[in-house]
Amino acid sequence: MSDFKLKASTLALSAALLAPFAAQAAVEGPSGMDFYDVPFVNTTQNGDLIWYREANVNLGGGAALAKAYNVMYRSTDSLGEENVVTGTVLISSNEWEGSGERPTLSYAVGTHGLDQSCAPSMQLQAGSDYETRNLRAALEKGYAVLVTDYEGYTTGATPTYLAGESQAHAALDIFRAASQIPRAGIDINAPSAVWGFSQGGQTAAWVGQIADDYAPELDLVGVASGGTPADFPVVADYLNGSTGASFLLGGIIGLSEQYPDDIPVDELASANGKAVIADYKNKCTFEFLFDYMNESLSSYTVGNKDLDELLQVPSINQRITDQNLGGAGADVPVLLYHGTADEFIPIEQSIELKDAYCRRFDKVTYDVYPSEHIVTLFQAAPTVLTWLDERFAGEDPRNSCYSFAADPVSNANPGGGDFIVSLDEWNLDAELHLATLDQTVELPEDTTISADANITDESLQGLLTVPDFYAQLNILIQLTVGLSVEPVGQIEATTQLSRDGRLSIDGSTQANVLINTAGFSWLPIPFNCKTTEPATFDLNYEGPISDFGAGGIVFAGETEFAELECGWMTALFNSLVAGPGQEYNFRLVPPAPERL
Amino acid sequence: MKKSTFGIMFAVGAIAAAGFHFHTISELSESQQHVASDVRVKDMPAIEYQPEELAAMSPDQLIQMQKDALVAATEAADDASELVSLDRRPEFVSPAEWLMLQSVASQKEDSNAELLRLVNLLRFNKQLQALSETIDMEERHSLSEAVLAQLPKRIENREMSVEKAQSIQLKLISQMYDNDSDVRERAAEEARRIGAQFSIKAS
Repeated sequence: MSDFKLKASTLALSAALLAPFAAQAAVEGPSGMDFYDVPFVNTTQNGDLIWYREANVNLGGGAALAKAYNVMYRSTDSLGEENVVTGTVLISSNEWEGSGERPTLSYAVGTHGLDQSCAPSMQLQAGSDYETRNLRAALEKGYAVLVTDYEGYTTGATPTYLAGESQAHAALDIFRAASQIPRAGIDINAPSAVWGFSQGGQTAAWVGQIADDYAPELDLVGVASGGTPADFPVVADYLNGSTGASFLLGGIIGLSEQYPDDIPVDELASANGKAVIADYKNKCTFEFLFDYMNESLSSYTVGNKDLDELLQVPSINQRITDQNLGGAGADVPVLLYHGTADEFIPIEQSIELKDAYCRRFDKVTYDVYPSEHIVTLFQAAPTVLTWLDERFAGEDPRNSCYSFAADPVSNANPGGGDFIVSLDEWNLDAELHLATLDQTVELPEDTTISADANITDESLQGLLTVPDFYAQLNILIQLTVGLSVEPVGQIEATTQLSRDGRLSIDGSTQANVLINTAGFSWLPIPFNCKTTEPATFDLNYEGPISDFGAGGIVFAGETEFAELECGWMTALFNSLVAGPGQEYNFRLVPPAPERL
Repeated sequence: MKKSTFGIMFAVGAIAAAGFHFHTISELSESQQHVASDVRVKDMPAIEYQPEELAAMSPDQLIQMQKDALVAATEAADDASELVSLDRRPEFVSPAEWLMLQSVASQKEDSNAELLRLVNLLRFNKQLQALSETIDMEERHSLSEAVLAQLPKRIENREMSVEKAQSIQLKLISQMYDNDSDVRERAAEEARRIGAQFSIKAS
């Protein structure tokens, strides 16, 4: 043990002896990776802060971040055993503009990977955390944001991935730990909430079910749980041999870590399985997602036992079904949300969770997104944050239990093949800036793109649809021109999702520009001008995958309009409209959600 | 709507539609005609025809004006140098075009310079248009030389990309010469003038 650790341990131990029932005196932790070495400290209560340090996190430019801390704190696993968890505390630089104290949000992350380097606290420092966009959005609101790593990222440990109660404990205990950081300004009595998606959705829902018993002192006003794996056998079956197969493998590894006697993975795994597990433990999300896509569990097990056979083993079945949600009611209002095209977690079992809560007369708001898993994660942020604001303001939530809307049905792309993200009539927020006229023309609101982005074979094909529209051009004041942008052929692009979660699109589409009419709104006169060759619009983008769902994919550039054929006015319109330097800006906007 | 705005657009529409049923401004109610319009022509050469006068003309008259302007642009091919000043409407600009160019130019800070640029560009575009409509070899040659001469200015003004200009060059030059080596030599010379490169692999 280093001198520092010995000193820290001694300090902590002294504090514990002097006040055995009080919260631990906060100790500043070491720099570097030493922070993740668990010191010999006697803690007395869940949420005791073992140590903390100021952290340099990289959320990108312009983030509303005043200060950040790393924390190590005591928590409890799913079996009720004491454990040690790390995490990050983010203090917003924005004033809280709502009533009362600045709220505290525990943001429960989704799957990050089992290697220590995948820990959210480490990826936030490295600037590589794929959920950064949602954290930024929460900080923008003025919340204090707490991000638990969950159990298993201290040095030498393995995450108990998908162990629901353990994760919920970690997400609750970080409220207690953060409130012990000197001068961080986090009040344990402040209004609080938990938000998470996917694994984080599981965590948030578990929090809703146990918060009253586990952390009764918190003023928890709501939990937002998206992409929630609620029925584990159903989700496991959906994942097995499918696009998200790696999450099933990770779940087996993680749950075997929590329940080693009941899920004895060393005995179950074949030689190939053991090699795969060793490899998996060294990878983060966007690495194992592709490396183990479409693999069946049977390829890793002794005797090629598949999921069905494994679930017939009582101890395994018990521990898998132990993770199911809905066995208890939610203590606080719950927002559930899910994408109909979710290819990892089926929406139907999420609806069943809603129904289970409704049967207990819980307050459940349910939002349906027309999107796949990763898109929904980021698309939902504005709606979720509005819902949270309403909870912090003390408003009653809409209760979807009383909705007569039909239950949503999955329209996910089938698993087992290429990983295809379908864009079904996504809105294109598009504008053209005409060079000579020095004027921006907005394309109509119902301009859409439908496309299949095949992440596996790295291609994107789609169609642009632009309804005819009218614009006032700066040729003569109040001259209204009827325009068409007439796509020629398909959108063709290559698309790649890198192993650190960055998306790139490189392609183009072509379109002719038509001036159909000109005149005034009550008297359009036919013109029938059309470019003699289509203009090419390059569609190039490179950025975090979160941009896909958050409306952050923007294609911008310059194109050249070929000469138009306009009868006797050809030369005039070619002088005013044709030529290079025509700027365009196309932003992809996912379709809006529906609240049940 | 002011009569001037309506009148000129109606005239232009009639020209473009060429055969579309023609209405005169007098058939419209006063309220329909009353839409704000303010073509700022301060410090610019005067409008030769009032919009009302244009609107009162028949489509045939308006089209004839366009034809006359096109002929003038063709005749102007003998001197391809850029106009450097304007004190009145050039003959190759029709009255309707003149009003609209002034309207567009007036939105720019240096409206006179913009009007001059647009007028030069219009002449170039008319000469290109005339090229596509004439089969007279002498006229074609004259127009081709004029267009070739003006291409560097079009690029300098960002009115055309180098790629587009070179495409026009090759099309015109291949029609001007029968001999492949002459085509290559001229194409290389013209390419240099626009800062492009030209090469054809010997067969």
